[in-house]
Amino acid sequence: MNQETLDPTQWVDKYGDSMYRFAILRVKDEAHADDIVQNTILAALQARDTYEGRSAEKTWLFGILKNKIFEHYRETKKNYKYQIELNDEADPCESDFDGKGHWRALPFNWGIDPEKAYGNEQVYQILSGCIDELSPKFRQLYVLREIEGRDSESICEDFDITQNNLWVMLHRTRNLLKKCMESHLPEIG
Amino acid sequence: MTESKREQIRDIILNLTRSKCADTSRFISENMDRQPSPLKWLKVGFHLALCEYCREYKTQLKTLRRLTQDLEKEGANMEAQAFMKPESKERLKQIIAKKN
Repeated sequence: MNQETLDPTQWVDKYGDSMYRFAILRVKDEAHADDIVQNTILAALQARDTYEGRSAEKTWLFGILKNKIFEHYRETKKNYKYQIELNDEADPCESDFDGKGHWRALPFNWGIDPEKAYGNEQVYQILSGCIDELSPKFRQLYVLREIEGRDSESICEDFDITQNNLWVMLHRTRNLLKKCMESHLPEIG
Repeated sequence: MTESKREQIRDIILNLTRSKCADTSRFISENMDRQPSPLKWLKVGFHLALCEYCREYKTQLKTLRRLTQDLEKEGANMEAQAFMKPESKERLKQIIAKKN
């Protein structure tokens, strides 16, 4: 069996951009993304003696990167209360319901078939932009749930929040993204 | 049957069963994060069978989830992709050269 070996001199050229992209989607701020990639490289250099070649170099590095991003989340945890607060963005769909709680108008068909959207750069560009506009706590929870695929229980444990709180926040986030997408969809034509 | 007649009948049934779209939309989202209880599953299923509005909302959320999951696929959003600044790359290369 071919054992993978590490070649740190190639890391920046081979993985720099993809590590940075991975980080920026999750932390929004460019300076933080830069720091996280740097900390990952430092940690990887330190830990390279423990690398046994069982996983590919890239997988190994991205594993460390994920840990660093999570460390960043834990640090920022002190700055936010992971629950809905008065100064949070309001649920933009609230006014879509009438007094009886029924939709005032039919939610419109986006005309996007997710199976075929792959390769439609504009759609993903709009979505990235919309995720960018989210506040940090909404963004972190959404990324963990939808991109990392973490289950609600483990997210609640990590952030010391109740399941109900999480669901309310994820629902609000989805509605914010829905409205943001809809405001840009006419551009796709 | 006209469109408005159908909507009226739907509203009557939904009102009688106290099944509101506002609540259902919340459950649709919640069900994406956990297995619903059989009772809730039935309630939402019943509502969805009658309500085109909530069915469309559900489709939107499913589309949103799928697009989000695909966001990182290589090449999915080439133009939107960010690149590391050259000076950051240079700094990292120096760090590696020093420690390697």
